[in-house]
Amino acid sequence: MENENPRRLEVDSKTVQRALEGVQSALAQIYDTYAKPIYRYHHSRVGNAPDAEDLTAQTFLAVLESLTRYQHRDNFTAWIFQIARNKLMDHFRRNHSHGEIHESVVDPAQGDVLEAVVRDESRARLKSLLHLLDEEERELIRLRYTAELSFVEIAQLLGRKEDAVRKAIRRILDRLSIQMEAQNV
Amino acid sequence: MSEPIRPSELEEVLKDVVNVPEPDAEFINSLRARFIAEGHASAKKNQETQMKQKVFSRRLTWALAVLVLVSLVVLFTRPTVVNALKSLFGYVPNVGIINQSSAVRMLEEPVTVVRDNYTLTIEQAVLTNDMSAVVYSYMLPPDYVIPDSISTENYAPFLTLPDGTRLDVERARHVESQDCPQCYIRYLMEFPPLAVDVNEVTLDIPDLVAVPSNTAPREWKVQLKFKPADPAAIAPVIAQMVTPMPTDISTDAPTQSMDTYGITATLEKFVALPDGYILYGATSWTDSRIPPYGVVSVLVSITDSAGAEIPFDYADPGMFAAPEELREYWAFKIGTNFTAPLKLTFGMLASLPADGGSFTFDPGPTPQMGQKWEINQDVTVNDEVIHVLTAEQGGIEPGYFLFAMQSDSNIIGASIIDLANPPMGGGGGGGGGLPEPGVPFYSGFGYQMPIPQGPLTFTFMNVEVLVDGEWVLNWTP
Repeated sequence: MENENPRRLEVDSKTVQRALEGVQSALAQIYDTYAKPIYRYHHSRVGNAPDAEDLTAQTFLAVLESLTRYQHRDNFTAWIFQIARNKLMDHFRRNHSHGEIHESVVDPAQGDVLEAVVRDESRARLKSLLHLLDEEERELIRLRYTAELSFVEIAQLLGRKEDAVRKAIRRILDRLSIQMEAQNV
Repeated sequence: MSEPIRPSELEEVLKDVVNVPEPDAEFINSLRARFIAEGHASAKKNQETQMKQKVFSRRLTWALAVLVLVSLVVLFTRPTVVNALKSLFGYVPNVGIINQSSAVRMLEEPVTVVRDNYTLTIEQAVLTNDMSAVVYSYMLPPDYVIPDSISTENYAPFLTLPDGTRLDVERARHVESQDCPQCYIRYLMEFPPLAVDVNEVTLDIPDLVAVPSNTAPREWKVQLKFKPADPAAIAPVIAQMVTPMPTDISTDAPTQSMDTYGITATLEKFVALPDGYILYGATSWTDSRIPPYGVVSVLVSITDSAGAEIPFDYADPGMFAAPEELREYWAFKIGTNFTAPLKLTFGMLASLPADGGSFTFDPGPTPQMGQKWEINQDVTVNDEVIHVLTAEQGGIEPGYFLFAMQSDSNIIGASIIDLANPPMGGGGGGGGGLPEPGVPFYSGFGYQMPIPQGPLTFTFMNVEVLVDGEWVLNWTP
C-alpha cells in the first residue's frame, strides 16, 4: 500500500514546451504516458468502451487546444486529469447521468477453481461495499487503482496534501477491510 | 463461509474489482496518430501566426472576400451572384474548401512508394493561386510495434522546384481516414503557391508524421506531376447565410434573466457531395464576460420536415477562432436521406465569472467528519439567486467542505473560494454541476489544516449556466 505505483515516464515542463513546438517525440511521450490511464479512468466512470474512447479522444484533443495555457509547471498529471474530469462532467451533464465505479469482468474459469470462488466472494463483497462509499471516496479509489495515479499526482489534482491523500486512502482501505471482516462473521 | 480477506490482499482485490478492460489497440494507435499529427500541425499553425504575417494577410483577404460576397448574396440573392460564388470556391475531399478564382491544378495520379514494408501514398495535390496542398497517407508494416523509447527528432516536409527553390510547409493537419481502414494516418500539408508554369516538383518527407523516425524509413522523395483539375473533382461551395430563429425563452422561472449573452449560431455555407452534405457555420457571442472557449454549443438534433431525426457526423470546420475571438466554428456532415427543410437545434452552455456574491458559515470549534450543517442562505450572484442549502465536512479528510446549492435559474454549477484563507495548492474550490436547472448542485472547498476558527466567508468565483432557449436553424439545400 505505501509503495508508489511503478511510474510511467514523467512529463516535465521541458517536454511540454517541446510538444508546444510541435516536436513529435514530445507529443508521443505525452500520449504514451497518459492514454491508457485516462482511458481506464473514463471507462471506470462510464462503464463502456465506446463512451470511454470518445471521452479519451475528447480529452486529448482538448489537451492540444489548451497546451498553450498550461501553467502548472510540474503538475502535468493533475492538469491533464482535470481536463479528463471536465470532459466527464460535460458527458454526464448531457446524458443526465452520473458515474459509478464499474467492475471488471473476470473469467472465473481462470486459475484454481477454489481460489476463484474465494476471490469472487471477496470481489462481490467488496463491490457492494464500494457502492456505499461517498462520491469523493470513490473518486480516490478510481484515481488510485483504476487510473493508477501516485499519491502526489492525486494530491495535486485534488488540491490536497500528499499525506492527506495517503491517509484518506489508507482509511478507506482500513474501513473496507473491517467491513469485509464484519460481513464474514 | 469463505476465508476472511487479509488486509494485505485487499488492495489486490480492490485493483481487480475496479479494473477495467484494456483499450482497443486500434483505437489507441489511431488516436495516437491523430494526437501527434494535430499537435504537430497546431504548432506549425502557431508558428505561422507569429512569424508569417503575409500568409495571414492572404487569408484575411480571402476571408474579407468571402464576407463581401456573402453579404452580396444576403442582400441580393440573385442567381448570378450565387453562380459567381460557386465558381469562386470549391470543395475537394480531404483538402476542404479551396479558392478557384484562378485555374486549379491537381495531381496527375496518386503516387505510391513502398520501403521496408511501409507504404506511402501521395493521394492528392491541389494547386491554387494561394496555396499548394498535398495529402499523403501511409500504411505501417503488419508487424509494427510502437517502441517504448522515442528519442529522435522529426523534420518537416518541403517541396523542391526544378530550379532548386525550396518551399517549406506552412500548415498541416490530420485528415480523417475512415474510408481507408489500412491507413495509419492521412495528412494534409500546405505549401506556398506554385508559379503557373511549374508542373513538376519533388516532395521531400524527411520523417513520416506520427511514427517515431527511429523505426521507419526516412528521407522519402517523391516526384509529383500536376495537370489542370477535372471540374468534376471539385464540388461547389454554396454560401447560404441562415440566421437563427428567435430563441425560445422559457418564462416558467421567475428569476430568469433571459440573457442569451449575444450568442448566435449561424449556418454560413454548405457543400453538396454525392453521399451527402457538409454544413459549415459558427457560434459567436458578444458578451465579453464569457471568455474565449467559454461557450459550448451542442447540436442537440437535426430533424427533417417529416420529424425524423437525421444522424450527423462532426466534420472539419477548416477554420479556427483567433486567440481572443469570441467564436467557435463547427461543421457537420449529413447524408442525403431526408426531406427538406432540416431543423438544426442547438443548446448552449456558458461559463461566467461571478460578480462576487458570498455567504458565511460557521462550522464551530470542533467540526466532525461527516457532520452536516443547515445553511439556507440565498445569495444573489449575477442577479440570480443561488440557494446555499447545506454544508458537509467532506467525508474523506478534515478541512474539506461540500456545499449543496440550488438555483431557480439556469445556473447549474458554481465554484467558490474563501478569500481570507486561500486554498491548498493555490487552486480554487472545485465546482460541481448537474445537468438540469433547479436540481441541487455541489461546490467544494478544502482548507489546509487547521480549519480557521469563526465564521467563514465563501465568495462565488464562477458560475456555469445552461443558457436559456434553443438556437434553431432551418436549412434547405
